[in-house]
Amino acid sequence: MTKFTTRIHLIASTNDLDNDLVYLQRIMDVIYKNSAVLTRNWIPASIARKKVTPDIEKADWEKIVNESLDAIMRSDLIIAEITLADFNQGIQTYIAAQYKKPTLVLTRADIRNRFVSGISNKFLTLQQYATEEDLDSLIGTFIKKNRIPERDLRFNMVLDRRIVKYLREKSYETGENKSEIVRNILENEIKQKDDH
Amino acid sequence: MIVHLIGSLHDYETNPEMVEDLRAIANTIHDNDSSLSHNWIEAAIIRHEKNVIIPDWTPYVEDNLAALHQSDVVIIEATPYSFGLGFQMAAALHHQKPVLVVSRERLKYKYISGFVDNLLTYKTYSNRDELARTVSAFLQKNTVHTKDLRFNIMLTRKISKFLDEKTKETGKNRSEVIRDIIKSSDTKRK
Repeated sequence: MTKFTTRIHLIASTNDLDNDLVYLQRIMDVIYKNSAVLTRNWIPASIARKKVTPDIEKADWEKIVNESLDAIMRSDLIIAEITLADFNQGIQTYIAAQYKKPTLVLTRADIRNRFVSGISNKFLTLQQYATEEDLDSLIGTFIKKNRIPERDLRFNMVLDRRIVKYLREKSYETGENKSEIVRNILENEIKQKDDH
Repeated sequence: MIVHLIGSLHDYETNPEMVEDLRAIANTIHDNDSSLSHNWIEAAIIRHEKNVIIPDWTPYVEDNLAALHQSDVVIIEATPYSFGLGFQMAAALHHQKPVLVVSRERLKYKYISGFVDNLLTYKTYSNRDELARTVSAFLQKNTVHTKDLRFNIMLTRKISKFLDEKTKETGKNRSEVIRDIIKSSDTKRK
């Protein structure tokens, strides 16, 4: 059976915990139920910090920003809960899309006439929800659609005679096997695409 | 210089000062011989006054991001500290634009204060005179000259020899050769 260890970064705000905490906890539960893990489990730490030192002046914002950006980079998928729709969430959501991370943007708010409703980006999926149960299906579907298997995948394909001849020559020339040559070609292609 | 001004009138009813603050920024931009890449403020005010609901915001967002891309610098009025403003700030920095974020609320102890980027400046203001001074200083610091600049440079013997060879080879003068190399290096960097 294929194992999945999808790493997910959760973008959210802890500025309205009275309303949001129950939903944030549900999001985390659904992530774990779908065999995924949080890249950076920052919410309990943020809540604890607020209880101990409500004074936000004591927060090390440079460290928090660096950790959140690092978590985006290390994640396979991003879930952004943006009901509060604050500045931080906008920054992180843009950066997630910039790093080509599939991102599920969730909100309970009315987004008519809001900037977020007009964002058109193939890596961002905006969904409205009303209940905790809605989160189960929205997040479950998102993870299943985008999860990445833990191990490398075996892949079979048909090669035409011309490609076979080319790979055989390359293999003879370089001492690499055909699979290595194909993987190198694909990796170079990805690198060139990324460079552009 | 072309400036993209970003702001939000979503809290128009509760914060009528915002309109005047945005107008003050726009006026300061014009006073500094610069222009707005996308003059959206008055249209947005009318939309709010007439309660116009736009069914599809995609063209609006795309116009904003295109205007941001075409501008030399970006100014964000971030008092509402909302999602769209943060999204566009990240886009501006991604496109290597100098960004000024101004706010009536203090920014020092917010997420933005943790961003370390040479292109980002954030300032708090308490009145429009202070706002105008901040915007003017930012524009003057980041002025992009519209005319070509004369530039003098000392060349080492090695570089001079290389340029002589290149001029013979290409038929171009030394300045053209240097400009081509710089442009090629910039293209590769991008």
